[in-house]
Amino acid sequence: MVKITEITSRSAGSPVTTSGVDLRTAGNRWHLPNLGIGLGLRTPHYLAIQADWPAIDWFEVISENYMDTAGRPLAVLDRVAAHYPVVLHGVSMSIGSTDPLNRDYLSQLKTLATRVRAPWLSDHLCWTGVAGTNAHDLLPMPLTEESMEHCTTRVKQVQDILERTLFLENPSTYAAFTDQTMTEWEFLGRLCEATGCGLMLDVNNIYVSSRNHGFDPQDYLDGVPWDRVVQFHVAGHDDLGTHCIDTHIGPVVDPVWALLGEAWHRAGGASVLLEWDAEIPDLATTHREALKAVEAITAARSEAS
Amino acid sequence: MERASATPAPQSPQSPQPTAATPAAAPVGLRLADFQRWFQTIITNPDGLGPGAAAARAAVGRDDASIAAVVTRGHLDPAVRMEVYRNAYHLRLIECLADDFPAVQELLGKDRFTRIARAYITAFPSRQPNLNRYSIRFPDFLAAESRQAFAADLARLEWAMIEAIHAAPAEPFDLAALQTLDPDQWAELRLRPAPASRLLDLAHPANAWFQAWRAGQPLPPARKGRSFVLVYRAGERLWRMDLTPLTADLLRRLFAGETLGAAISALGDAPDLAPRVIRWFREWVAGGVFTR
Repeated sequence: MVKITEITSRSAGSPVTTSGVDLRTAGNRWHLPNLGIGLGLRTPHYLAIQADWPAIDWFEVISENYMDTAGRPLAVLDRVAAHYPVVLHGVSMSIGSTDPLNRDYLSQLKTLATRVRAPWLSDHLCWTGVAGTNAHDLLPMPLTEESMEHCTTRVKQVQDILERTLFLENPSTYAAFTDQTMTEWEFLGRLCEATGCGLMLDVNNIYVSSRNHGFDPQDYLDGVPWDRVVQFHVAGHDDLGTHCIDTHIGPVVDPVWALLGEAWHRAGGASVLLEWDAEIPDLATTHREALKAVEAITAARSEAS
Repeated sequence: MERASATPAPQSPQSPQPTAATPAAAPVGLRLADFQRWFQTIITNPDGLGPGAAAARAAVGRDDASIAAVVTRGHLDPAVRMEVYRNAYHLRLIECLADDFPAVQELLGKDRFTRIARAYITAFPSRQPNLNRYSIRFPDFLAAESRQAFAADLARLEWAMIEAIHAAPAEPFDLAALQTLDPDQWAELRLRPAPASRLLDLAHPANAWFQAWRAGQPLPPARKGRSFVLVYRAGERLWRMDLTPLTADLLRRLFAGETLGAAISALGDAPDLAPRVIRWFREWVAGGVFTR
């Protein structure tokens, strides 16, 4: 387990308590820490971050961006990891693919996790390609018994190779399939039970998928095994009226903040991370958007009480 | 380029042809491996959902595996749903190429660049977990498939810069080490290029064009003319240096492992050669062009 004390101490970027809510409590079964309110590490912010190491609680990085490179990205990552907790978030594990697991990829991932002392790492419930192709997209799984069996085997293998618990994120999906026999929350709940894996819950993805498939986000929240949630994602999306696209552009909409507030309390507290991936504003603006999580968590508490 | 987990939004709100509104009969029951081949065949098809769906049915040998039969309708047409994925697949890779070759995109214009990018994506689907090296064959593709010779040289320059960013750091060969050598040892010295150093021999003045574009100056005509560029990284900063044929020849020989003495003698006996060589050499060494 990572020792957070190894990281250079700074004043915290988000308050530790507000309106009687302890923002650093963590309810997960692994006793993994609640790191606070973090940001996805993105290239346009490299200079601003390294200029004065601003008080931001933690960073999440896309693991693949620091693989097959020995140069500048890795040098920046090393310095960031010396100042902040860094969590790895992958997009190419392809846990649901029927192609063989990519052992070389998993070995690089393990090395990277050790290098940045990642307290946990996550990827998505999805597949990213077959027949040797990588579509570089989070493609939807048909939620069937065959998929459940397949993912169960693969998650166990990955956890054995990485010697870590895997945390899976619910992706935004635009299609579901006529063969489907269960909901995504049922699928994830059963997968957690069967493999011991955990969840990284993206509340924006719950919202986007609920709009695309017509389910009630409350039903989703009711189905989440909360003691397995170690982290949340929030992000902006494009609302096309009939459906939503998970673009990670722009501010987080109010219904998503409301979902975060509720989910955070149901989990007994967990780390929060804002993803902003295109048309990225300056670091201060991005951080201000992320810190709206504090209001959302506080507001949800007062509604609950 | 860097990856993110976002989905690119459609750029033009074009609706795909709706699927037949007949309600799906019994689920098609594709095995997971077949389902994934079916899905990937559709989203990677460059020509649209219709041709993609036909190819997908053939790929799994199931005439009944139409989009309407496999994808749940809900409140949205299954074709609209699949088009989100088909669009995102192509847009993400186009973005990757545009991100790696911004000057080429400027030179060709967005429409022409995008057309060529789509052809590249169809010719070279990604087979790696990351996109750091996806664009590696784009410069040659521009030259061979698209007959864009100037753009190809510009792309070679931009790719050399990307490779220089990702190259491993190396301990630079420094001048202090040089000063401990006596003149005899100088001539026998062999230097190795740092992993980030790239020497380009181009048929067009791509760096002059790149420099003008980067500086926001009037763009020179995209004409022919041999040019030599050295791309190197000092610390984490990238540099591009135009070279004369003479300096390029010296550097090429040194990178190839010739001794300093042999490389210099091969330059002939141009006037003032020695002081000029020393000046170039000091500049390269100071920039970390060589490693021990």
